[in-house]
Amino acid sequence: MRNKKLVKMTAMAATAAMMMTLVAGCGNSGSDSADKKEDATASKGGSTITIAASAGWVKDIDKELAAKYEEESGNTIEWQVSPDDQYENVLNSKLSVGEGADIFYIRSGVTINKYQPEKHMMDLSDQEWVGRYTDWAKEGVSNDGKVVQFQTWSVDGWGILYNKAIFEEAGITEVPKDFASFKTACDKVLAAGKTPIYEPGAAQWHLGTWLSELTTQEEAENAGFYDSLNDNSEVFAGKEGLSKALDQMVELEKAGYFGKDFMANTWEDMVAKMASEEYAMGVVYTTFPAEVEAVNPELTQESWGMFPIPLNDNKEFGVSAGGIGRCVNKDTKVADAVMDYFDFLSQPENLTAYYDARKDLGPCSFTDIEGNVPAAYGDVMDNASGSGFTAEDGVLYWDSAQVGNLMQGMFLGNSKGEDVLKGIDDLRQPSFGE
Amino acid sequence: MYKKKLYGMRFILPAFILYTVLYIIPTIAGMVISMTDWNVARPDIKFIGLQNFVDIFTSRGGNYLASIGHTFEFTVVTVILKTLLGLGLALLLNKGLKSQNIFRTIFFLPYALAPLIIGITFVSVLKPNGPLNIILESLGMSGLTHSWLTESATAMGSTMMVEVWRMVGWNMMILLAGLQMIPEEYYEAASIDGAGAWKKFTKITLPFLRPSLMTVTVLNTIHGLRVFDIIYSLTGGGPGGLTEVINTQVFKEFGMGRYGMANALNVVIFLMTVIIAVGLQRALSGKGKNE
Repeated sequence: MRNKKLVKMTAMAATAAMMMTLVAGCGNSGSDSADKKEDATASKGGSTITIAASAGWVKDIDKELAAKYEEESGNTIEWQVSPDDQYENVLNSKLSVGEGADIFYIRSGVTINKYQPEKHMMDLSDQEWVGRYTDWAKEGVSNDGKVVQFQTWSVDGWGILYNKAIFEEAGITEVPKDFASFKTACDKVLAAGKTPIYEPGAAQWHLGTWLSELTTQEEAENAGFYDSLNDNSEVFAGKEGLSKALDQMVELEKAGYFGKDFMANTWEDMVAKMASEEYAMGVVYTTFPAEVEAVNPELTQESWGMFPIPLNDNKEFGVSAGGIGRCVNKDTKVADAVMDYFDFLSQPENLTAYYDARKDLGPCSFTDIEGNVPAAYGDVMDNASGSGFTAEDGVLYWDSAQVGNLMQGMFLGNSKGEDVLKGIDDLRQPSFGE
Repeated sequence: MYKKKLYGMRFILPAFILYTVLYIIPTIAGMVISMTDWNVARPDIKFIGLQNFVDIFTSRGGNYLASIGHTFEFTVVTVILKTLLGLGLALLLNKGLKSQNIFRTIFFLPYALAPLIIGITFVSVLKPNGPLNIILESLGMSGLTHSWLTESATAMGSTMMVEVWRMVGWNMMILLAGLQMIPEEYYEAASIDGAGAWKKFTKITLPFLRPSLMTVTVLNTIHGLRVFDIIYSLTGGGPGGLTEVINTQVFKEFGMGRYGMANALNVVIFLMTVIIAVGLQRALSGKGKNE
């Protein structure tokens, strides 16, 4: 009898505790909406702007400009920085439960679609600074005709960086224009006692980057390919050019152009390996030579040249949609303060300070600021027949790491190029729903 | 009379509430989510019943079946090796060795290190130009050198060996505790009766060690089925998915924002762990036989 009573009391207490948790949660969201109304008119002074970002995207200059803004405006900037490999999950979870920061960083381009722009992103089209965007910046930060990001990053792409001195020593007089001339160049480098290409095969995302770049050619030859992939009316499987390019990549590896055990090579070693001049080439972005120069000052920007990845005789240079941009949470309670912060960051002197500090970035996203145009960028554009978005920036549900994982299977002899393309389709398909 | 000495039911309330809020509710919520198509890229969440589970067992949208196979392979091999090597070390270091305490500490130390740190360290050790290959070459065994983590023949085996190295000391400690509980008189009586070392081991040591062996086997199995950090830090599931296990798949599904599928995979590993752990416990304790 006494036991029954106790069990009953325990059950009631547990139920009450659960109800209290739920009520507390609901109560919190209720007070949030009240706050939202109250703070909707908040402008300069006394507001706190929260900013969510991945650790690698926030540099010292971002903190310095934020501190300067705090001093000038009286508003406070609160950074919510997550480790690089966790940021996407943290951001998704917070947006899903309505606890997203006022400003959140995400990649520009098609990646914007992954975060439900209609639901989570404020339309910034009417801001003054939008009129000063370069064409590529505006295209990269737009979604469904609306500008949804404030962006101070840079357009860049991945091409084959080559050491001019090694090329000269090996007797290579012309930049490879197609697969045949590329193989000939690799043979000459091998004959000169160097390894032709440093490929960090342990970094799955880097392998995926090759195909992401090469997909630009498919879009250039069949305009609308990306749109068809994104509305799920087209697939990768059956694209002969892409499967041929993948099979040619295996051919490069089999010929020994990547050196021994390339799948144990890491991305973290890439700067040191290129600086050591043991390798003649590598697939990198155009500002990479500056990083090499920091390690080996003898190798200046002029020591390098760049050309598009010539597999399947590709001549297109795939570029990003402008890198990383800042979105404004549609549910922000401090919209006026956020716009004020963006106005501050977009002032020419602050943009100049930003790009002066960010030597890793290339051309500036604003027309009235010069930015940095690395020599390799000019070089690869000269060697390319055109440029367009890479798959990473133009194709929905593309994940370079997952693609690289499939490509590793190809190098182990478990699959062919066509199997990789089918694998990409299999990975993307569930995200479109039934 | 005796009942009055027992603690009242209300004493379990704090633990019950905490366990409910922190474990039972999230587990049930995970099971519910596993029956939806929740994807961060889509605004609507639809109830799709068991479709995610059908996709898992038909490998639609990912190589799920291979991951399940790798998880079992990893579990079976590591459970056997960890238990046998742990038992061997426990027998060696049970008594009669001068520096046994120092050795016990040395063998137990890897367990005290974070798996991620161990993983990062072993990536360097197992590199083509890493210490392991250098040692093999210096011993004139160049033919045995490999790119351990990136060759299809050695990748999974290497991750297993690292896990065994990490956990063998922990197994040794539990089995040592079991060995210390065996009364010395049994061995003395057996010696008087003329029993040899093997007879003593099979007729005294093993039967007395059965509860400890059951504990390590069940816990090793659970550890094996839930493996993530060692694999993630050593190979990331590569090369080419050859070391992909269920939990690395869960991590990737979360990364892609496919929460429905990520939770379905979690439910699969949860149910497998429960069924196998309970089955093992019953089998090893001989409960089924006695009943």
